[in-house]
Amino acid sequence: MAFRKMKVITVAFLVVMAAGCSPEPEFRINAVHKLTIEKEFLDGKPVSQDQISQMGNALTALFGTPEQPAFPVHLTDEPIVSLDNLFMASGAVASDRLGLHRGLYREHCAHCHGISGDGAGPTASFLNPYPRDFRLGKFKFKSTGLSQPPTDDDLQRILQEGIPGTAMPSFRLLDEAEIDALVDYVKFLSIRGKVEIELLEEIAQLDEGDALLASKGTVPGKEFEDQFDLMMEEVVLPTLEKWTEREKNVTDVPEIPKDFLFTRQQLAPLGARLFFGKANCAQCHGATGLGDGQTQNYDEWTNEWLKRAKVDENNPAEIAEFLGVGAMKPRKSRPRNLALRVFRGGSTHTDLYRRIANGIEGTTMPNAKALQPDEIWALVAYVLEMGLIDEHAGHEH
Amino acid sequence: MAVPVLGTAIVFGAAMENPIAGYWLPESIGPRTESIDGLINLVHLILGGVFLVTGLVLTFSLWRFSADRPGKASTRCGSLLLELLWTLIPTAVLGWLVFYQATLWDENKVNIPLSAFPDSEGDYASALPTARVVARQFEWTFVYPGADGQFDTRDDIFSPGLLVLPEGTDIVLELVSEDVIHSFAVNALRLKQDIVPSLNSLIWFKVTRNGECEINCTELCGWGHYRMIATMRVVTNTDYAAWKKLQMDKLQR
Amino acid sequence: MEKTSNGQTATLTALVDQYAAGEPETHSAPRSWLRRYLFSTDHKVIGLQFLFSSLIWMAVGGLLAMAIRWQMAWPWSDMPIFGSWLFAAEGGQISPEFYTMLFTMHGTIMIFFVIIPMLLGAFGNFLIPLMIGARDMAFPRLNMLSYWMMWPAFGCLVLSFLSPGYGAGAGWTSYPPLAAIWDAAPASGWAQSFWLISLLFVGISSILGSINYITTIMFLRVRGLTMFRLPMTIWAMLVTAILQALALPVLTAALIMQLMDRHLGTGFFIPGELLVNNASGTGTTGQPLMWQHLFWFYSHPAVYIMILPAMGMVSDMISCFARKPLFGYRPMVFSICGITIMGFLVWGHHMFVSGMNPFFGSVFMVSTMLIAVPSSVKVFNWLATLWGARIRFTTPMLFSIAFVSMFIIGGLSGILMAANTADEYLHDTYYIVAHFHYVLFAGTIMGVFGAIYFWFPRMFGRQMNETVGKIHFLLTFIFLNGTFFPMHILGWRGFPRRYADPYQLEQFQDLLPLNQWITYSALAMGATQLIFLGNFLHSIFRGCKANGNTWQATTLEWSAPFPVPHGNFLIEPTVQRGPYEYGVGDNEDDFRPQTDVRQEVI
Repeated sequence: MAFRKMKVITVAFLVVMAAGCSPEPEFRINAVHKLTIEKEFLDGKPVSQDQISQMGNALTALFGTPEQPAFPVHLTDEPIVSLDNLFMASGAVASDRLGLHRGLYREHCAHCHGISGDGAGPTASFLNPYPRDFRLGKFKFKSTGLSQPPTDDDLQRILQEGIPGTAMPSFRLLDEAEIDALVDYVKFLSIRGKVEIELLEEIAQLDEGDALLASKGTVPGKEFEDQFDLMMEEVVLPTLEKWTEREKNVTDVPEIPKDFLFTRQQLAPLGARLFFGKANCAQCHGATGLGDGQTQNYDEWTNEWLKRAKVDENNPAEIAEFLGVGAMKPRKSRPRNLALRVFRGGSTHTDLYRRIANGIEGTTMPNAKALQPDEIWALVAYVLEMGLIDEHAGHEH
Repeated sequence: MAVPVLGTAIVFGAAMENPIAGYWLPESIGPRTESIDGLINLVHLILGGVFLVTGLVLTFSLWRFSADRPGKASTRCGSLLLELLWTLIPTAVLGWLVFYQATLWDENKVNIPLSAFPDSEGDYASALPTARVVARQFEWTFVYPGADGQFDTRDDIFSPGLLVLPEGTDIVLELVSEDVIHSFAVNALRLKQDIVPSLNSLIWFKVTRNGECEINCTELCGWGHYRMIATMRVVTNTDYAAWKKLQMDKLQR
Repeated sequence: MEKTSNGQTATLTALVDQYAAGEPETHSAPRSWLRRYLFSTDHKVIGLQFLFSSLIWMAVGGLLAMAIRWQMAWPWSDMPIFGSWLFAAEGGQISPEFYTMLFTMHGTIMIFFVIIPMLLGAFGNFLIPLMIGARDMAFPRLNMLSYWMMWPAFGCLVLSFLSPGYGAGAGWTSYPPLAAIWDAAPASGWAQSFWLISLLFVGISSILGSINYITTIMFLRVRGLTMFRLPMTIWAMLVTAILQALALPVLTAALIMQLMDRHLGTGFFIPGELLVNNASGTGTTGQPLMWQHLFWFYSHPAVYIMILPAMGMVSDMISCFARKPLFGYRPMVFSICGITIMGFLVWGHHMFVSGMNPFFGSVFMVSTMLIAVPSSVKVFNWLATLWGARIRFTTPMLFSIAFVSMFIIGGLSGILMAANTADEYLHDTYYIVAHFHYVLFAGTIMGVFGAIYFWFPRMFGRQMNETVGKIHFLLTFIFLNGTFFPMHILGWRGFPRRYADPYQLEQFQDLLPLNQWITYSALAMGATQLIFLGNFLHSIFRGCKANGNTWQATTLEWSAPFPVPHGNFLIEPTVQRGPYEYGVGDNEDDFRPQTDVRQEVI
């Protein structure tokens, strides 16, 4: 009797086990952006499901799935990503030591950055700052100018060193091939996400009945091919082009003044004058550099939906609608507390020069178009000296 | 019903099933490691002996004194001599162990040798640690004094995730935490020290073999606890000086 | 009551007698269903309530352990069943903070919701009045309150599971600042607060229980039952209750202090300006080590709270099935008293590398080494009890023997850790995990299984199936060694505990197959418990009837009629002799119950 019951229980247990086996993950649609364009262009009416699924098909055709990623490599002369790398980084984590080690992205990145690179993995909402959403194509710490994608070296450096002062750790213990694979996968997710956003923008301009892409073969003639070419021409190619051009957009850093580590202290007073005057850093970073000046701004990842969809930030119900589709709870972006001497984009003189000269993408930190290289070096000197030893810091004004 | 025998068989079964590289302590890289390994081996030897004896007695009793055996159980319910024996002998063994290993603890955790501070000029007041270990959620940063031999000046060398140390010299590290409790652990050195925010502690050791080993965090510090790892690279004195020079040059960049 | 020559004690006895023992007499057995089975003041019902709720929580805690093992064997691969519910978007892959929740909640549940309530709540309640011949506990309503204080605790723990982070994630030790700062970890929000409140309720429940047990054992013993005629079970329950009554207030205070740190802006445990997860500092000047001292001042005695009652029950079972008096009864009593006293002096061995003054490390090393002596005395006495015995290999006996042999392993590895230099290396590795699972699972839980099989006839009037019981024993025993012994090997290699993915470190990558072996064992061990579940449920309703003295034991609980009525004994028994008179008379009649009036001298 007892045995019969046990048998029943065991069978039931196994059935539940089998039924519970997880489905393969998919790239999630950018629901926040979808809701944003619905609010901005369509008075909150949902876009047609047909158009969404056509977009989904197009994206799958171009970029594959998290299990089997693809990339339109034939569209560019120089390769942006290597398919081998994508294969290595994608898929479920394979812990088999002997076979090929796959699933690097899900092993190291996905719990924060999410399977789709939306910066909304399960751990994300607890982190401050939030993990980066790659899909907007905006990266903060890079050697290229505003609205330019970062170079491979930039991304590699972030993976090697981490981002101090955030939850982004260093992945120094991975070997070079693995880091390369992850860098390619980040580029892949960013490009895929950007194309998705552009397609959503296209959809917003379509009438309800129109197709983004007519199904293949329903209309004799070339409608599908035409639309597909158009999509390639207008959406995919421009996105890819930015990534092929980026090496040309690396900003120059002029020769660093000689023995700057020890001479910079003489430049600091000039830096201080600029800090409070021409460069007006104090407006945001505060007079003492504690990051307590202008603190009411959101970053662009938040503004992308908050401002475009005209969400009232003080109305919890409106915010909740976006949180419901996966947006992060808006947090004001804080100017850096310079006194901590923790610089997220690196703390060499050159790094800081770039931050000041190029600005920081996605934040209110502008690029320093109006400043001469000397002046930028002076600012670097001031920023580094102010937190260091009291007698040099900020007493000049 | 040879319980311990069965247990042992299972253990060996497990061993057969999974041939792994090493079942015992990892390779030793310094004198500190050797003394601790000696202790661990010795204690295991004593423990193994006790386990074997008690296991044999238990197995024998189970085999010999089953209910099928004719006659009744003995009604003996105590013996002062035996009780004294098995109170005093463990006390003596454990007491000896106390004194044996107390000196090791003193060497490793209590008394810093002055020789550990090369620049100390004979007193602890001017002694400076080789490097400062700064722990923060999921990241190790190692800070070295620059050319001026002082911490917290503009030429401090920051080395995230990589601790470079000279071979064959006494090394002192100062441990600092910026947020929660972390623990600095180097398995190859059998070394572990928690880092409590607000309490900076010192550790000291000597490494006699160059190469690389891993540093990890062994006090739960949050979701990314398992990510909090770094590399310790031990190099010859010349290489160490060269590395420090390189880092100082990098500061000029 | 026992006659005392001391007039003052007699008055006190009379008073307690009047207040407490009087109640069951003035009340006849309650008639309504609710009062009888749910809000009952009868110690037997409360004992069973504790038993059932602990068993349910044991299933929950066990499932959490399976999830931990899953991650250790196949890190980041999709977790079956629960993965697809919780992390559908990630394809069922668990997240690192979920892993911290898993081991935190596994520890919390197993310690505070399974072992302690099982030993003291279930067996303490059920056995104490029966074994001392009392009609009920001294304070039956307090007893009921002690059980119903567990329900707010259950509720808060469930709330903790439902809070962001899916449950507390700072380890069962909950060290601040990680646990005390709201932003320090994903689960340091409400999940942590509910966890703290939940433990507060458990603490209150245990304190109420201990006061009751101490009073009952001291004052309600039946005539002739002197202290040195108490069975070891009762001695163990007594010293455990004393331990708990003295140590728990400290934990309660610490829990309240941490709650205040979290909600009222105090700073007992949070040092100044910490920058945790970019949240601003509290500006307080607390000391994190103080929590560790307070916590371990309770939690080390708690280790003995979790093993002593099992030792007591195992002593009784071994003597009964060896058909031989317990060897060295008085030394056994003295050694548990010794463990109790010294149990308060060793908490610092959890903190050898915590950053406290290393001189303390030496002090606690000495006291920890010495506490091994009374434990070893107990082991030697058990072995001596078996020597020359006539062992009946029943299921409870098998579990008891397993307890002894496994406790030897768990105890011996404890000695290595007492050597603080060795502990520096083994601290927070799987060696520790192996050690306390050998003590708590292979020790206590095996003892508890034995006790369930042993006292099942007294609880339900039926016997559990012996054959199925032996299968359950054998499989559990094999798989538990398969699970926990290799953890020593992991520990020797320095394999850290509480790591969601230790294979990030190159030195541990070759340990993956061993971990997979452990996981297979653990899964099999988990599945084996279904056999127990089946046997248990089946036997409650359909087991062989067993109304009499099933195991031919001597102690008082077997002299009560079945079903044991409200008030336990129809006629108040009188104790004539000690609890371990086995091996006398002829083979059919080789034992003398404590109430037996025959005047043989043995």
